[in-house]
Amino acid sequence: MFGVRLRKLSLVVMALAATIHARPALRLYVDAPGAPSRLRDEVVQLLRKNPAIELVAVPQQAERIVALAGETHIRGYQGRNIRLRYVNADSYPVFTGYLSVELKTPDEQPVWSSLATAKRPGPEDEVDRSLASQIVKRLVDYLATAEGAKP
Amino acid sequence: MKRVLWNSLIALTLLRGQAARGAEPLSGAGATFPFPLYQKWISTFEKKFPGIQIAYKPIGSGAGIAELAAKRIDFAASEFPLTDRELASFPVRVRHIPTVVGGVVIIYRLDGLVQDLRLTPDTLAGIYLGKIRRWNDPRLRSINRGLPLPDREITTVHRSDSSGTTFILTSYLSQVNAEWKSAVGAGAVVPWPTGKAGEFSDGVAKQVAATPDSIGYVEFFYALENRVSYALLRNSAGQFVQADLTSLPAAAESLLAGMPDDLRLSLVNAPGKASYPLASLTYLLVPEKFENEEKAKAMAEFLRWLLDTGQKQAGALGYVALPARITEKAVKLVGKPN
Repeated sequence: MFGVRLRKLSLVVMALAATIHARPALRLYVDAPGAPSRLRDEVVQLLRKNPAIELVAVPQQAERIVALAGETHIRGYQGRNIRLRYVNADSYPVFTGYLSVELKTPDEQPVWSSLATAKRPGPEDEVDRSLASQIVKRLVDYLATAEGAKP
Repeated sequence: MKRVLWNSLIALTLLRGQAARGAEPLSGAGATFPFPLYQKWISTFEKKFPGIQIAYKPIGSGAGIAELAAKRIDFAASEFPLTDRELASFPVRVRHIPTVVGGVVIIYRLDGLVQDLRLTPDTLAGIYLGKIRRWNDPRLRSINRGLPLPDREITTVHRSDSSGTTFILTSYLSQVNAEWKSAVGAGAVVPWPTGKAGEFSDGVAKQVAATPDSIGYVEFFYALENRVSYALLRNSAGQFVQADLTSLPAAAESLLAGMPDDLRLSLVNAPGKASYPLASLTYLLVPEKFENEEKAKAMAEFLRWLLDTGQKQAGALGYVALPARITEKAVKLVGKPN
């Protein structure tokens, strides 16, 4: 009987301790002055899935500013036969690009930054997703290690 | 009386103007390789330290060093450190302060090719030596199987000015190809056997972007900015690698053990499976003494800032922050704040 109570008590103490030590979600504002809205949207969508991060609507509410810059562009056209060098009705545009991120304090002081390039040329939405997922992974890893923002 | 009053007013206005502008700006010139980052650094630094202004001109490493030797600027920027002999005869005693690691990429324009081109040390040397003249040369086809390389002539583009980027490429080619070493050699300016010349990094990038079937070399971010394709290079471990924020730090890390105290070190052809072979440190060449005490303080402030806060901005432009062991040594070279 005493053992059961003690176990319950220790569970309550552990839960309380976890509540005290858990860091509230880190408030981020995503700014994309130098990136198309598609890329910003991909990044925002991925960040929303992380419970350690709260996205805010205005920079004044943020603890950190995420500034994105980058682009995708058509690298060429590809058909089913990759040996063909000319464009025909079968061809589709193949994109490449890059995305960079700079993490800053609200008063514009640099905290961390990174850059990702397209792993392989492809359709625009695939390249967007690849760039966004690379950047978000690195950002989340940094925030977890350096700022304690762990899910 | 009126004239005295008028003169006093003019003097006061000038003094106020001077105070508003702060002290005389620090002036630097040289490498185009780190210019995208230096621009960003200067802008961020000046916001944090409004009393210090810095003017930097990207005129090429060689021209920057010449300006410093002529004492027309306060610091120079270059990818090639001065040799012992050059240091001994240099009119100013200088320290080499590394700022970041960057990479030179081999850019090309091959319309209709969407896959990444692969190059080995020998094919790259062969192209710049004028021995490989056409894109469908069997030596290029054998390492790019399945790629529709065209039966067209290759146009090579190189820098016209004395360039640290050229120094990185030619140092690499001299290490990996005996014919290149004996026929051309390493340097900021070399007797190119073939090709067109472009002024500065931006000029080379724009010339390649505008010339079908051309090949050139620039710092990584210039390739991204100018939307030109860049090749995978076979490194010393036999792996084809592209410049990015994994392969550039790998090159720096692999050579840390041999870092001398004066921080003059080449990163080209670094060992390791993940290392990119055309990585390099870039330096600021800073006089040991300034005649103007205010400038000495401003320079030290800027150097300490870029070795700490500035490093955090490097990644966004495709440069790599210095490994901690290099930063520690560099901070010692800068000295303590007064």
